[in-house]
Amino acid sequence: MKVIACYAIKGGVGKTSTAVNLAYLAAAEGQRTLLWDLDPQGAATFLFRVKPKVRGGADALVRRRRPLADAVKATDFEGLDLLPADFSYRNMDLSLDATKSPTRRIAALLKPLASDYDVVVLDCPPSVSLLSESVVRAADVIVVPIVPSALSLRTFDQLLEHLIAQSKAKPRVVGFFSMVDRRKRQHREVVAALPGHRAQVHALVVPAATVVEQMGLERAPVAAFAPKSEAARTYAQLWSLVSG
Amino acid sequence: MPPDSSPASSRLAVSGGRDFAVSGALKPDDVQRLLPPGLRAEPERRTKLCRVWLDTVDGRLGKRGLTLVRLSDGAKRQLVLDAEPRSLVVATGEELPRWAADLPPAMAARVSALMGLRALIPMRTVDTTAVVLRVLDAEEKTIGRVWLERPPRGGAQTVRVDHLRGYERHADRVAKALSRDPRLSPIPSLTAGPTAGPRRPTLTRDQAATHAVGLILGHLFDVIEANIEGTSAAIDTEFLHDLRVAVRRTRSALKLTVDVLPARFVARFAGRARWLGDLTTPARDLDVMLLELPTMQAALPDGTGADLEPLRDLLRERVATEYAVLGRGLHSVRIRQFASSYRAELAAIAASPARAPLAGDAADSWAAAALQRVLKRGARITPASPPELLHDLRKRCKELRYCLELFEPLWDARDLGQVIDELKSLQDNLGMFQDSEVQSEMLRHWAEELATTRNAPTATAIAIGRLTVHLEASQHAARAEFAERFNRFGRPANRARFAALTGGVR
Repeated sequence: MKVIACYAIKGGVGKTSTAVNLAYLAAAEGQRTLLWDLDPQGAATFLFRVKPKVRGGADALVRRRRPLADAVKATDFEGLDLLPADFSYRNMDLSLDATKSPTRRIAALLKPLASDYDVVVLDCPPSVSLLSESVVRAADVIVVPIVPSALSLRTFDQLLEHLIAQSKAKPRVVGFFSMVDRRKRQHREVVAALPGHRAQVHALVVPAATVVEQMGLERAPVAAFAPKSEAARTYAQLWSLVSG
Repeated sequence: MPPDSSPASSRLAVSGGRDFAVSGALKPDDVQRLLPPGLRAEPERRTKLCRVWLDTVDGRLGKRGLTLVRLSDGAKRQLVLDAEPRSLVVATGEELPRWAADLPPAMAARVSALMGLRALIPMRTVDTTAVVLRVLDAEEKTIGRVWLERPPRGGAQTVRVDHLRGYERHADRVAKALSRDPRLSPIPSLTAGPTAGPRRPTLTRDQAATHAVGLILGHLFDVIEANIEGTSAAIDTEFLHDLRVAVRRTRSALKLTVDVLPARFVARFAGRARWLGDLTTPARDLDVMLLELPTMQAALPDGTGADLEPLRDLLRERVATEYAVLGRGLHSVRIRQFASSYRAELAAIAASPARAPLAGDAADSWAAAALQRVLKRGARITPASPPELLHDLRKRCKELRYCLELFEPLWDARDLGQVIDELKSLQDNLGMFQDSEVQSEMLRHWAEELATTRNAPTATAIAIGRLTVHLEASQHAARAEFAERFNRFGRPANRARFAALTGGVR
């Protein structure tokens, strides 16, 4: 079972769009896929028309009063299941903190699902927290959307430092550009320069396009309703990079 | 392997759902009409499905209630192991798995012990075209899927209502609603594919012995023929093993039951059966060496097991050659003539008038005679006896074992089981003695060949030398234990058990 975490310290950079599209592409390829929406805002859960409700909340899952498998819901897409968000996830750090090995907890919770799923995608909330440490520890690959800005390199380095400091497992990091507006000179310059500075950053560009915003209306990944769009093509390239 | 279009075989290779056979046709509109209020069916896609049921040729998975299917849905391929408490589904590639080691680890863990040395082979293929409907609730959420499937060249339609995780109750409601249509009748969930293999004949104590022996010989020839293709294709080593066992049993049966068979028949076919056995020996000897090699490597000191790799390469090369020779032999005119004349003679035996003795009485006396031969020859063996006497005793034990197994239905199963267990203990000892000797001889032969034709490293010769020492020690140990094993087998209590089995015939 491969665990892919979509993570960034900053919010609003396209983590959920990335997680949803990567999970969809994995399932479309025939991999049994689970997307865990760890963000209490529940955007991925909304997108897949599932109720953002987990009986017993974060505490029941984290303290194993309820197996993860019991809370799983099928999405509209074959082979793609969702572990929905719940508003109680905002307190997940507290639940984790009450456990013996909080930074290993997410990996431990996912372990029983290993025979059910080939791929697990974690849609993480933006933060540096106990949860993010536990996610990093569980992940084989960390996918990092980067919105091009003057501070991108610094932000990315901060994130790498955080990952290296926290994880003994040393997951592979895959950075790519998200919400890129090519009309902006700064965006163009950062996209051209950053991959040369950091090997983990790839020259893949998801544009700030209407089609990505339409996901909320279509309640589906871009790759499903606009597979020929530039965004969908980039997500497909990202998936082949991540899955390889 | 012809495609199958029977309705019962058209079930989806996943568990957790309901299947129906349809008399006539169920269309997407019919599904919509049957759904409960608030639910809507929407065509999602059309697809071609292909299911290949996999099992060992002797149906080892099916016999344990396991069903392994490779499901192709368009370009997607999944392996599905349908087993309690739940199914395993894993994405897979184009190539069908052959060995347990080719399966995903979770599946391999379930089946490898069952499979043993056997390979998986495609038992049945079912092609269908499917219309997939998704069932939506009032909030447009997919809560179930309905598959309308039909074989491409006609045949009965089937319907499946799939469970979606977290929405199982909804799918049950859909299935219940559909089941109200009189055209639909429930069919059981996925069951095992057909298990191959000739069926054993029915024997009774009061049938004529000649007829019983004719049935047994016919069955053994069925087994021989059933294993010819698998042996020729070298699917796994068990085909040749089973073929050889059937040949040996045939030879033993012809010898044991000579008094109730036409003399001309025995004279004619005993030689042919021996020829067939001899034809298979070189390939089997190499198979055995290759199968034993990992054990031999493990017996060597740490890190020196790899020194036997040149031997493995040589054996693999030779086994391929021997299998090619064997394949030609098994498809020769001689075999075809053997088969046709043998079958004709067996048919004549079956058609001959029933006459004494009865099968039960005859089997009792054959088993008792075989036992006496074992006891008599075993009693002659002393610590100073040459190995040949032990080898001969092993053959007599095999004859007794085959006799007991061939006429097994004629005796009490529990008594027979005890008698066979006692015999096995003696056979294991004799097997260890002879196999160690044979393997030692073969290793010496291969060591010479490696040295003269392959210029193999000295380390290989040393490793083989170590093994022969090891084998000689095993042979000595077996020899030292023989007297105790034989005395145990021949003790009065065991003889009495035997006499009880055969109705007092001694």
